[in-house]
Amino acid sequence: MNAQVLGISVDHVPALTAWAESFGGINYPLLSDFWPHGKVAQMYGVLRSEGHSERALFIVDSDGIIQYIDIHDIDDQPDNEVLLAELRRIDPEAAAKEPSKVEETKLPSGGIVMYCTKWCKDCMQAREWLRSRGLEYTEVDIYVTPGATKQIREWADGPLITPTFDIDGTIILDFDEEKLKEVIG
Amino acid sequence: MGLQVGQEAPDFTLPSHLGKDVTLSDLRGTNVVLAFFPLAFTPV
Repeated sequence: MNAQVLGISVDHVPALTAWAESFGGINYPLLSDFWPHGKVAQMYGVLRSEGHSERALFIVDSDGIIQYIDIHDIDDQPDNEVLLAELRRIDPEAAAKEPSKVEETKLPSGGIVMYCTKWCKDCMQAREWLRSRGLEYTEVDIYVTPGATKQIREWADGPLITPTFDIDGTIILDFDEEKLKEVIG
Repeated sequence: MGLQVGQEAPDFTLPSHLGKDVTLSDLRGTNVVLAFFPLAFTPV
């Protein structure tokens, strides 16, 4: 599905990290609305007087317009099927292209391979850096490519670092211009 | 208060547990699901 999920809570980052680790990692970013406390929840009208947010879902379309709002009872779990149905309604074209099942694919190798996400700023900068130099590269979106997060965690010895580069077998963690220049020449 | 369907989503930049900031408006061109949840160690 052509959608980026962002989890948001008023926890501080270390709590979110610990929580994500307790599942062995979460495949989408958890955002910390910790300081100023609950500011984003407040903007979206879902901050409760106790200081934490409601359980709520907003779907924002590709033009930044709110297409769906669902505020749950705090003890209810959001229903993923309802959410998927809404996404299909908003973006039927993307839904049609949705693969019927995820297949194990071989990760690309050879040349410059960049493991990245849609949302990370360093990935955007790295993309721009490569393009401005006219360098050809293969992009792997780690959240839609099976096995990609596992692979880059192995290279980084645990943490999930984006972008990660595989340049003919040489691994570079993060957008490190000096190292990139060194390896690419 | 109270956002409605059809309104522009308020923009924000927040730190993420992956160590990088995320800005909503950077994600134009993609559908985004914002999932607010009360506290860590509760289901998202």
